[in-house]
Amino acid sequence: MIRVDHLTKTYGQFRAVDDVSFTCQQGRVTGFLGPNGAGKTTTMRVMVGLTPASSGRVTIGGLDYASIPNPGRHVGVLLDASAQHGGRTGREILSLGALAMGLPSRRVDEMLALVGLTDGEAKRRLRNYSLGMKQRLGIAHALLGEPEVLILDEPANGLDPAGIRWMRGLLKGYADRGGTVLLSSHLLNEVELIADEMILIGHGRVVAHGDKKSLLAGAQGAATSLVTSLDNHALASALTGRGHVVEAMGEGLRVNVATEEVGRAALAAGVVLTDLRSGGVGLEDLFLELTSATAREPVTVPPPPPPPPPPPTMGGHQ
Amino acid sequence: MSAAMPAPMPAAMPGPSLDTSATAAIPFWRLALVELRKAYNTRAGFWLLFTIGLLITLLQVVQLITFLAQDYTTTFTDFTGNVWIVSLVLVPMLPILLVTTEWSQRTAVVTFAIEPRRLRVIFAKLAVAVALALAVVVLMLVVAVACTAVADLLRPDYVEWSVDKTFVFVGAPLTVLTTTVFGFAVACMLLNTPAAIVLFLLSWYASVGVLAAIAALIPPFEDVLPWITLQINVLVLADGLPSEASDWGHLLVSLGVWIVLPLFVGMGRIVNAEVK
Repeated sequence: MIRVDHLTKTYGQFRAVDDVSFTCQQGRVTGFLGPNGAGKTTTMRVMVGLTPASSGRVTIGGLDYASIPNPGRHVGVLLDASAQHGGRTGREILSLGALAMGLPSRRVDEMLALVGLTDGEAKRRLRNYSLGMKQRLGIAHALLGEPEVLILDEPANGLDPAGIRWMRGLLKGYADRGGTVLLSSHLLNEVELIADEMILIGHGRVVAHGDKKSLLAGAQGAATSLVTSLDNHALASALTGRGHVVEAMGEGLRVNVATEEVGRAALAAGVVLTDLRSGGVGLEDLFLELTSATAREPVTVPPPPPPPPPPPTMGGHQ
Repeated sequence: MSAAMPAPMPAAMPGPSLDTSATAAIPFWRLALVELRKAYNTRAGFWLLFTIGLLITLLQVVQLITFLAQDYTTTFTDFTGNVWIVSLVLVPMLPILLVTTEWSQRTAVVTFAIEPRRLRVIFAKLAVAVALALAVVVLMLVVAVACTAVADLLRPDYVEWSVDKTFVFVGAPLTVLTTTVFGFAVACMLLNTPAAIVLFLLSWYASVGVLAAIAALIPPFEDVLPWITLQINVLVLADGLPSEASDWGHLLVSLGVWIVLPLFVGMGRIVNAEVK
């Protein structure tokens, strides 16, 4: 439904989005994941025509966003929940949207109820809203025109855990009814549970995409085992002899192969195992691994040393 | 925040493409209606409108009171004259606010997502500004009629109705509209509320003096002066459209320099800007 085709956006020498291509399927939730500054927001802004692309193209249902008549009726957009006039009430903001899209005013009440903003809250000015309330209002605004496609940038930002769970249910239900959802996040846990499909982006490039299973399967060297035995020392040398990387971890060892291989090594070495389990590769490891080359913080490097103490004062104030 | 809330129902979807055949584009009048509502649904906008209305009424009422306290003849045109000068700089604040708050409050992100054809939104704002400017002129005339009527009632010997038709129907609306569009153009070019207000006031009030000073220093510049002093050319309009070809030339050139040029720059900026 959404098709990003070799999209590139450069700012001078800086390539914010670098030859990005992917599609979002109808009836599915697509998660757009990446560390801060990876190019997620820029990509989404190009999608809705707010940022001109340097090259490449984005179409929604085969159309450029700008050529969709009354686009709010087809594509719901939430790019920045704070980008609203702080002096308008929540209800007024939705009413303006409804007026522009040509919707009856009861639609505003429906949306307020849907996102759980009370009458009192809807009458407050936006500047008095918490970030979570702004997000709810933004989601209400995106859903106003009963769109078939939703484009949401960091919609879970500022929502409390109950709010995140609520949004998960909302988007899941929306996709199950045939809607297309693209949502971005820099937090993996937010997306992991809702997204049918994930696109991982780092430094403006797509580093991996697919559903959770295929992402994990495709991860190079991601399988690890945790093993404890009666003779860890002997087991470690046996595993190292087979060419695996072994490191001490708690009571036992951590090995970069599947459990089966560890079992075979133990059998051959005659070491009694007391505990052997899969190292529980989460998407998080994969996410960090895939984006580590591009993230701001190198993953394995220790935190920077504390700042040096202030220089001694000499001769007091001048 | 109940999780049991029903999820919204996306419309039926034929295949992986959008069926937009049943959707009409947003008509211009609806965009204008939205912009009109934006003009008064914030505190700044509401109080600006309120202040303009209040000042226009108050100035004429004060004039009525001074008239009643003294012995001199007054006319209908006297009432409109003073308040008109004030309207010339007050009314343009409306389009300045209407355009620049989209950027200062970052609502442009939402506005241009709802209507990606940005020029339509900008023209809707211009239409609203023009309508409000005309409304202000009408209010000014209505209050003047009321004040003259009261004056006529209390001191009939000193009141003359002598309505200057050219001023009422041509001069006043035309001049107020011109400064309104001027303010609009400056706002489009700068997209920043304080900067637009300052540049508007400076170029309206100070440019005459500044240009005259330059002309005093560089005598040949004096010949250029009538072509570029906006304020003088606009104020002349109060007495109706120019009759001489040279006056027309002066008017059109100064309008081109001060209004059309910034308008083009501003529109180009708005259309191509990355909206953040």
